Amino acid sequence: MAAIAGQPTRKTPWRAAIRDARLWLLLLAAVLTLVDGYLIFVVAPTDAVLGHIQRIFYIHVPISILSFLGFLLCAIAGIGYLIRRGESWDRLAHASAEVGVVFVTLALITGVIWARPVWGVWWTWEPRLTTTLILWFIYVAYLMIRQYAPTPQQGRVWSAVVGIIGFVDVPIVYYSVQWWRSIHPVQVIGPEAADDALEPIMARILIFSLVATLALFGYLLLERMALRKTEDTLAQLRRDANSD
Amino acid sequence: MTAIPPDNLPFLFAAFAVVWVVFFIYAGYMSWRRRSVQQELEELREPGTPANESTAGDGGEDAPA
Repeated sequence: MAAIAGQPTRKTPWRAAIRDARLWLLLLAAVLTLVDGYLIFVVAPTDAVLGHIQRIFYIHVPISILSFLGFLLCAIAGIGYLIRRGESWDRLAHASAEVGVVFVTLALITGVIWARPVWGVWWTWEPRLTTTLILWFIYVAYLMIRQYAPTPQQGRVWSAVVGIIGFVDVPIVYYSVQWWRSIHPVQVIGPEAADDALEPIMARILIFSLVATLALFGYLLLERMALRKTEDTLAQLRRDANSD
Repeated sequence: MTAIPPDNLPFLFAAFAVVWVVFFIYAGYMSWRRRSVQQELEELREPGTPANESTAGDGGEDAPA
C-alpha cells in the first residue's frame, strides 16, 4: 500500500476500531478494577483461618490463569505462524508471550508474598512453585531467542517452536498439586476444582476479579501488538533507507 | 469479624502494590515506546526521505495486527 510522500496516511475504519477497542478496554479495565477493589477489601468475607492475607488470592488466581491464556495464545499463534508464515500470527505470539511473562512474574511474586506469612518461608521447592518457575524460564527464553537470534526470521521460527513446546508445562503446573505431594492449595477454578471449593460469595468475587483482569490483559495485549506493528514498520523503513 | 493477625496486612498491601506498580510501569513503557517509535517514523516519512515512497502507509501507531 503505497502513499505519496508527505501526505497523511489514510486511516481505514478497522484501524480506528482497533484503537477505539484499546481505549474502551482500558476504560473498562479501570472501572472494573475499582469495583473489584471494593469487592475484595469491603465485600469479601475475611478468611477464618488465614485472615486478611487470603485476599491476595483474588488477584493471584486471575493473574495465574491469564498467564496460562497468554501462553495458550502464544502456542496457537506459533502454530499459525509455522503453517502460514504470516506476520500477524507472529505479532500475536510475541505479544501474548510477553504479556504472559508479565502475568506469570506477578503470579510468582504474589505467591511468594502470600507464602511468607502462611508457610513461614518466602520460597519452597514444592511442585506448583517449581513448575511455575520453569514456565517463567521457558517464556523468558522465548523472548530472549527472539531478541538474540542471528536473523529475525530465525528468531520467529525458533521462538514459535519454543512457544509451542513450552506450553506443555501449563497443564503440568495446573495438575501439579494433584500429581505430586504438595503444600500448595488445590485448584479452586477449572476442571479439577471441587464444587464447594469456595464460599459462593468468594467464588463470585473471584469470577469478577477474573473478568476485570481479563479486560486489563486484553488491553495490554492489543497495546503490545500495536507497538510491535509500529516497530515492524520502522524497521522496514530503515531497511529501505539503507538499501537506497 | 474473626481475630486477624495484624502482621499480615503489610504483606497484603505489598502484593497489591507490586501488581499495580508493575502494570502501570509496563503500560507506561509501551505507551512511551510507541510514541518514540511513531516519532521516528514521522521523521523518516518526511518529504525527501527516499524510503517513504515505498513503505509509507504500511503501518503506524494504530495499525492492527
